[in-house]
Amino acid sequence: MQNDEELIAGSMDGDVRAQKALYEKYAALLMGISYRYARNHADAEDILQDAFLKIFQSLSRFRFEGSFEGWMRRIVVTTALNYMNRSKHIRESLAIEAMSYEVPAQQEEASIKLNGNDLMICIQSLPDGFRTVLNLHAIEGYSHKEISSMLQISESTSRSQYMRAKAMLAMRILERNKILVPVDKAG
Amino acid sequence: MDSFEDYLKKEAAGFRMEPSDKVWKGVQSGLQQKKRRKAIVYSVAASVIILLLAGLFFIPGTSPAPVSSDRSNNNNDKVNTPSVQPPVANTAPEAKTTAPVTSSATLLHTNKGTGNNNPPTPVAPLTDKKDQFVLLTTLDPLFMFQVPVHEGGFLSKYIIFDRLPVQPYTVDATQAPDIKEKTRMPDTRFFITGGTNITHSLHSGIQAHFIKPDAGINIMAGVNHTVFTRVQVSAAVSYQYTRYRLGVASITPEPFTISQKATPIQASYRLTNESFALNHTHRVGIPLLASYTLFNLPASKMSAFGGIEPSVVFTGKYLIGVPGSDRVFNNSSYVRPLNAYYEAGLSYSRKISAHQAFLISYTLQRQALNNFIGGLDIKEHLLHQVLSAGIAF
Repeated sequence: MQNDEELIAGSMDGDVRAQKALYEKYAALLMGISYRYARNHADAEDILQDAFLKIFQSLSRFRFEGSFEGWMRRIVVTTALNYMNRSKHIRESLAIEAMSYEVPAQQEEASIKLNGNDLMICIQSLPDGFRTVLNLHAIEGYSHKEISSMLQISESTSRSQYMRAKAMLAMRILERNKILVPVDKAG
Repeated sequence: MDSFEDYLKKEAAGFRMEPSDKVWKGVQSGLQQKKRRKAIVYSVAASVIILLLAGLFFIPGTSPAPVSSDRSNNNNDKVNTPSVQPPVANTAPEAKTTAPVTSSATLLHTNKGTGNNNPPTPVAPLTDKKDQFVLLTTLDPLFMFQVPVHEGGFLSKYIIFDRLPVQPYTVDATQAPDIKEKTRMPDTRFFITGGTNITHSLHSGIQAHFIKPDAGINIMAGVNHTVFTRVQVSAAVSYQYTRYRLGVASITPEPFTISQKATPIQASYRLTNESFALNHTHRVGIPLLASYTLFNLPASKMSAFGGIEPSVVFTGKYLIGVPGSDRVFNNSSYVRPLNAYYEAGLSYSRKISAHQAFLISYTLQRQALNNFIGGLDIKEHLLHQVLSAGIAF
């Protein structure tokens, strides 16, 4: 197995084997990220494909000053946001979600926890705006100020949508758990 | 950060999902498409540059300046030098011009040397007075003089027009048989000259490389930008002449390495054509260079190189004789089959993408001493300093 540096150098030289190796090494991880932002599996793959194209074309700009994985994650997140923005998913949905979703004030969020796959299904089931804000703040660690400029929304919108998203996710987790429990018992 | 967020973060960090095969296929085809598009863009850009430069350098200019038909038969018993013209320092009196000087014009200075063996012939002199500048309005030497070619030797004192980037210092000794008779400069002169010149030329070339398991051909084209700074010291006793060094145009196609990898097997040629006023030089060489990589990062590489380049050099000079004598014009060519250029330099390349690179190199090149026959023995130390830049793909 070649290390990242060798794979990057080979990919920059146009070596298809190195490109493939780099892709195979990180595709699953980055697909996991794009899946969190996308509406469905097909969108997630489109985002991943766009992101990898950008990664290969921008390798010369990677300075080896930070984590290569972190650099790629940022590209995937940016690509996902652009992808959603292209069809105005995020902003429109944020406006709609603010009006139409009744979200319980507080769920028993810490009591029930799903495994990774089920949790991702729950996250993906959230409305676009909620999902995006939740991903950016809770998982990627962006501040509400940064999110407001990334999504061109106000900081307070970001904050309130995040609270709603979190509550809705907790609710979805509970629902999901109800579905899963009988199955588990049966199994 | 509450425990729910911690939980989300932890689960998300460990989450993996295998994409389907079509993602990789899409990535591959996207990369290929981009590569093709870039190649087309660069090809078109290179073609446009080549055509523009070719047009600039090869299309003849306007008609030559009128040459005086008035002949003067006065035998100059001394040789004057032209007035100070940058970058040549000179102490000689101001010369006259027959037409206004323009930036693209070439100045010629005629100089006199009488020769006992030089009977006058009915050819039109370039100028009716000695020490006169003749303004020419074309850059192409082939269009400059429409005067008969005289088949004499190098019996007249003449003026050499040099391209500035060549010969930062030159020691020339003219040993034509009757040179002493022609020499009328009364005193010993000492010149210190200096200057900076900038020339632009076209770079293009082709290079094959072989690196296991890859082999390929690099084709490059670009603009060569040469900045030349020199300090010249020259001394003369009795027959020193003065040069004008006006850079006009240089076309230097030569390949250079664009690969980020080392190229253990490398074949290249160098074809250099230089034309300036009355001189024209064509050189074909095979650079035998060794290089050492100073650093080789994923995106950029810097190398130092040095070596020797065996060359065959064809040189031609149109010589201007003395008004009033028959040695008015002469065209002569030499072939220097055994020539060597020593060169060393630095090159830096930066990848634009997998198949394109920007390259900048600085080369210091010195020509070995050479002698050539034909009545003239000239020792030349040529020093080229070439700063070149281009995009290779």
